[in-house]
Amino acid sequence: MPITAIERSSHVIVDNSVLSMLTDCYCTNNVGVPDSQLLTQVRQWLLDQLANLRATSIENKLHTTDLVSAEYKPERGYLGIRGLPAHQITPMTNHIRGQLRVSTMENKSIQALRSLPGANKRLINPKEGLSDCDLSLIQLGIHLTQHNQPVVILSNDQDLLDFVSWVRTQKSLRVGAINPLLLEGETGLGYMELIHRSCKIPSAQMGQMINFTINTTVSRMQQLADGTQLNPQKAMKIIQRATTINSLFTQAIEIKAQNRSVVP
Amino acid sequence: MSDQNSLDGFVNELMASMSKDNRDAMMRRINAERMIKLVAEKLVDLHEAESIRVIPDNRLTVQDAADYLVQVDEYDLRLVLLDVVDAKPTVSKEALDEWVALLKSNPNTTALIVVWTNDELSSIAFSMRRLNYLIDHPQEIAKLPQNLDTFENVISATIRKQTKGWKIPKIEPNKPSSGKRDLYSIFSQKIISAIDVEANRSYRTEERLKAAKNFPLERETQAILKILQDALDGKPAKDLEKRLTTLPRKGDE
Repeated sequence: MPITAIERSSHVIVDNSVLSMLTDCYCTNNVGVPDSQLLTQVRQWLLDQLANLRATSIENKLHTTDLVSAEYKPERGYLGIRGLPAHQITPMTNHIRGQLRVSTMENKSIQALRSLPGANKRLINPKEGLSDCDLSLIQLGIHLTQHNQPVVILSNDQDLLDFVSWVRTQKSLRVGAINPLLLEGETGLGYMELIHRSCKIPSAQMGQMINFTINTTVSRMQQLADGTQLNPQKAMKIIQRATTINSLFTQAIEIKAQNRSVVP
Repeated sequence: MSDQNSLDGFVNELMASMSKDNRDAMMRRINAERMIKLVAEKLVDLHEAESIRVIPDNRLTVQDAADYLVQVDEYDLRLVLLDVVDAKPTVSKEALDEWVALLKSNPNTTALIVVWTNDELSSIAFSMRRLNYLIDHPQEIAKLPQNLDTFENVISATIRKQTKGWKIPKIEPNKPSSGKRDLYSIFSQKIISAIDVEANRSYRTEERLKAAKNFPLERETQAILKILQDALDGKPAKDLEKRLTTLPRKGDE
């Protein structure tokens, strides 16, 4: 049975939202691991996942920008909640940051994206929409298209992904060898699921990542300490989405199993 | 970033990856959905009065459903996304039959907008009449690509066509001898005639019909005429505006 998979290598750009999701996902699924071992295990898990991503990339490199790299602060996530001191987390953070090829984009070129004619006003508003960090990733993506090979930005920020889909069609950005049509944006989880189909990520592990995303979202349906709670309509939509994800993931596993059985 | 947005993006990618057997087609579909979302966001802001809602369609009901349902005030539009083969938008005879069935089973849908998942989001709007014409004249199908436009232009034009235009007859200027009474009679006649037109409108949905029947026509007319009288008597517009936008209670004049 034919199934969409990652068919060719791309320049892969990784957003902080993906790194943070992977970090917190491991910690949440391994609450029983003692503090003394947790950082080593998280680091190894992250290195494994980055290796999976790297296997799909051109020249085995993963890209990011200095602004986004500086945003990766695991102490602000689960590790911080668990009480691990920042100075113990820093070596792991630096090690993970070191796995990515970091580029610096000029502020002028980042701001130029905000003034593209016809851009969605909400998205280009620095307060409500995309930050300079987000736009630096898009600018890096546009820059990398000059090598005439596909470029993929991985992010869990839907605004960023929506803007990528719009930016790639803008003819004014086609300057010299730059071809924005080579740029694509995908969710970190969606891309990992495509890798999962090629049997590089075990289904159990992929399931844990999906469950983590669903549980994080569903947890917002309970009343938070500040008294806020998701309204029932939104909560219902989230549950519907979660159910859909589970059924699609089950289908993906079945197709993956069928494909494996036909491989000689 | 909202968590739900992240979940939505993931679902859309999974859906596209299941329905398409290559990544290019999958990405075309995902990019088209994201761009449609951005255009819809713009339309919602632009047509605030019509309260537009865009919701996934075929994910709720499987049979006779499109990809997106656009609810505009009291009518619906449906969007169908088609993949482009060799960058050329094409329509099959079978697709036309399917779309006729879709419009038949959804009488509240006034038009079906077909969107091809190319970078331009080439689109075309079909009414039942247009679809039937093409079924009867299949030689015309090949000419369809000449009538394509961007999705934004097509959906904007479709909404504009459905928006009721108020034809207000030109009011002749009063003669110098006319006093307040003349103005009152001119305006009150126009108002009563406009209310009559509204009261005799035909509605597609049962709910709207019921709401129109239950509308306190006489009381509302009297309230509006009283406001008109007060306006001519020089009462501040601010007070009148408040009364106009508040539903009169029983016993109000």
